[in-house]
Amino acid sequence: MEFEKMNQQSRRDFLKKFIQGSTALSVVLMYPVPSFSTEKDKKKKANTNYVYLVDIGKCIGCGKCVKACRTENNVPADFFRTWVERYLISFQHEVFTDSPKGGEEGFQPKKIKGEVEKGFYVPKLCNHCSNTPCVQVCPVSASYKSPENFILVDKERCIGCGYCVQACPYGSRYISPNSHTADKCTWCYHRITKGLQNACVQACPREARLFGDLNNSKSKVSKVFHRENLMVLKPHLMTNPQTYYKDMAAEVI
Amino acid sequence: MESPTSHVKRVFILLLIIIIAGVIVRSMLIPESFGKYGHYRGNALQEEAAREVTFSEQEKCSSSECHEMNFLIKDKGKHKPVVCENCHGAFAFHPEEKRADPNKFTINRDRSLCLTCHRKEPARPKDFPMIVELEHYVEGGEKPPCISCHDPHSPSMG
Repeated sequence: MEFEKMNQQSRRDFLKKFIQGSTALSVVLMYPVPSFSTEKDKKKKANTNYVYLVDIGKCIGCGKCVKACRTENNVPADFFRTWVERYLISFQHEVFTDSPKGGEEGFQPKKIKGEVEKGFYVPKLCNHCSNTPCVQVCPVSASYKSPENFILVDKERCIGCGYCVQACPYGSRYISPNSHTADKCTWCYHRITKGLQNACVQACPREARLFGDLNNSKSKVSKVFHRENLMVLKPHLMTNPQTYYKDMAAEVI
Repeated sequence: MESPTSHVKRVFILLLIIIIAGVIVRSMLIPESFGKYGHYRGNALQEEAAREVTFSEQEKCSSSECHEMNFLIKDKGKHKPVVCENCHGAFAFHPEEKRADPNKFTINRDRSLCLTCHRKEPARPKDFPMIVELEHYVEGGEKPPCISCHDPHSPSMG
């Protein structure tokens, strides 16, 4: 008896009820999960614009920056959070490049094929990209962007899968053999938050490395920063790095 | 006979059980401060900021009575941009004696320390003072240390 009553309900009525029901349900499911940040935390959304400026024309390849970073951050041996590369270009336009121990002990004289037409040192580090691939690929959200736009690694959450190491196009990341987690340059976040300078910026005797807040008119960086004359590494990858290079030749990759 | 809608009720009850189980497991697995500032564990930020520093800053050396003299000499010379800790080592713990170890206070007085920066290299900028090691005051195979003529805090001669 009941079955017959139900079958009398037309197909159209059923479809109507079904579509209404599922639309209502999907509207309910779209309701966003409330954020957990409190008022105090919302203020942390900084209005700072930190950039790092590398002046290639000034670098002498002394390696003091690499040494300072290693001491300050306990970087394991054979790994680098920052390093210096030497480029020697001959008159026949052959490019020779090396980075012995990251340039930490300086560079020994090198004989290349032909005369050296031009040469320079390029210090490199994590670019702290705005549109970073390493944060994107992390499966456990251990790689993150701080409110001040520093790209950092949460050692407690990192599972050491190495996906971020692969994803970084600049080779800035490594898996630390001590903690078995991903590690990289943090722009010395623990020093900046205490009002100190980054270890590498402080160590450089030539001011080839500068770091600061562009929104702070008193900072050295804001005085010398002219976006038109500056380049970034691998711009075609659209990672939007926050590390800019001055006097970067076309041979630098 | 079972009610004609019992199969629908069973599915919904099952869905309800799955949802409740999911919410419970999620609340157990997700760490406390997750989502505080963004899609990451918020406490990680404080942990990173709280790390110990190893290098101090020049102002600490310059404002002390012990080293003010050397700092003033350096400040007037060509080595003004070279910070003290560059050659003397990381000294954040000085003088609180937190890690008082006299062996930590050594300085390299050899030519090698100076040559790291001042050796003539084609990749170095031309306006930077450089020397060719074997031509710079090498007499009869003797290579006197740079500091025998140059004051490391103000190295220019004359």
